[in-house]
Amino acid sequence: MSELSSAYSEYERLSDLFRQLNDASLLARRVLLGINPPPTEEQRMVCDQLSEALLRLSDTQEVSATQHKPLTLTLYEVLRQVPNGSREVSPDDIAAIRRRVGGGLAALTPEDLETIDTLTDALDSASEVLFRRVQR
Amino acid sequence: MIDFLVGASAVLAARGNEIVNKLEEVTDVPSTVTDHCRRVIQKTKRHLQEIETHQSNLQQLQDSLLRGGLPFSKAAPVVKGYIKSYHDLRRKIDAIEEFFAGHITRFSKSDEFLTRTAATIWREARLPGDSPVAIASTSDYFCTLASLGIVFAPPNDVQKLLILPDLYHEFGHLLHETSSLFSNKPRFTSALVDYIYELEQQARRYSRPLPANLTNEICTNWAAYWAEEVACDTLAARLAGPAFGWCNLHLCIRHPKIYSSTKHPADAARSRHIFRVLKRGGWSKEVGEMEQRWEQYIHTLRPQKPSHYDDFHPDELFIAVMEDVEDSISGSLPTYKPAQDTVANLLNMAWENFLQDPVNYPEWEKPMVEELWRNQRI
Repeated sequence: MSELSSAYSEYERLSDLFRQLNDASLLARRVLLGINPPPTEEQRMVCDQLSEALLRLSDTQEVSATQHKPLTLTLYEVLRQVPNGSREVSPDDIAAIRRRVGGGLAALTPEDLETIDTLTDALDSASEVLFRRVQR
Repeated sequence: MIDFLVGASAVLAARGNEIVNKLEEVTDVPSTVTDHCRRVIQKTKRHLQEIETHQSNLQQLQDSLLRGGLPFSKAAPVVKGYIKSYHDLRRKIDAIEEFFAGHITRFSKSDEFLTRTAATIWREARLPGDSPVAIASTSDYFCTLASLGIVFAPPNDVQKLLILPDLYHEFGHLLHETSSLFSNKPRFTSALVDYIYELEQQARRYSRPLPANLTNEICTNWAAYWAEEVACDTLAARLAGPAFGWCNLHLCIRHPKIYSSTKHPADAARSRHIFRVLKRGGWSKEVGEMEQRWEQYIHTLRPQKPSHYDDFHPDELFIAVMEDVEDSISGSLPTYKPAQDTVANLLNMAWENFLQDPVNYPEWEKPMVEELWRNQRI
């Protein structure tokens, strides 16, 4: 497989993670704002997806090695994409959001949503950079 | 801003619909291509559905703002989220258009030759699932976008057979995408953990300082990229036999990365591993000849090993991957056997002829390729 294929495959992994986090964030905000909130079953599914996505970010390398398609990025690497001045996100923040999301989307705080948005900003930029590399 | 984003989404949806229409109209292509088109159409339609949902949600948000019940400060993060979703969906549509639909609508005779050859090899090797669409167009070497079921090959019109063994390696990536190869990897997982632990212990015992992040880098390279590459090399060497070994040496000369490694292990380590798999398959005599040529090549170039090269390329990880692959395909996939009327046999004959008489090889290959082409169209 060429470097191009690897870049595409990495782009797809980033994009998957981005979608899981961004979809959850959008849905949670709709629930909090009361704008056409989705049915409970859909909310529960999104909570599970969010929890899984956050777990992927907090994976240790040992755990990654066992996955069929391991995530290549660590939280540190994702956050490197965030421009200076953005709020910092620690593994503890991620763990706290995971705990809260167990209580449903409505249990997430505005700070949690900001944290998720910081991550999706980073993943969106990183996906764009990788995708352009593949296009060249 | 919301109106503008809804408008941009409508343009994106129109592009998606155009792709669907074009792919639905594709005719006169091998059935494999039609099957993949059907899958990509479904994928595109799912993206179109998402775009529609986002447009509707944005419209509701706009209505709430206009009614005055929602301040823009509260709506702004939601709008930002939809802008990022739009970026993501645009990249998805771009990828389908550029890396799949565009090639299908310009499907050429060379593409047909490659796609049909790929299908024949896939069938002969009894691989699970569908063979890929293969396109003769890339400025790079072989390249696979597994999620789209497409492989790109160099657009060579001469000496086709010498590079075709690499298709077997690319097939490994397609199988990996569907978890049919190397999805269960107990030996590799345990070997990687043991190796990193041992490396750190050794460094302490012998006071050999390791650079910060070295073990992390070794772990990431192997877990994220190299194990898959080594699995694909193992599969290709088993299915294509010595032809894959020769093809690899050819590639090492063509795009030399003897001791340098990025998303693949270095050429020297990969070659060593391919020799190992071939020897295990009973091809010791042929491997002896390959090793002799490899040593001459290294002796002539005298490249310098970078520091920590050996730390990155321990034999035990290559062997663990090989054994995991052997376990996952054992009994289900054939190993290469000469003297059968197969493409693998033709590729091995091609390499034998090339090694005996490289100058006149093109004259030998031309009628062989023509016959292969005729057989596939029957």
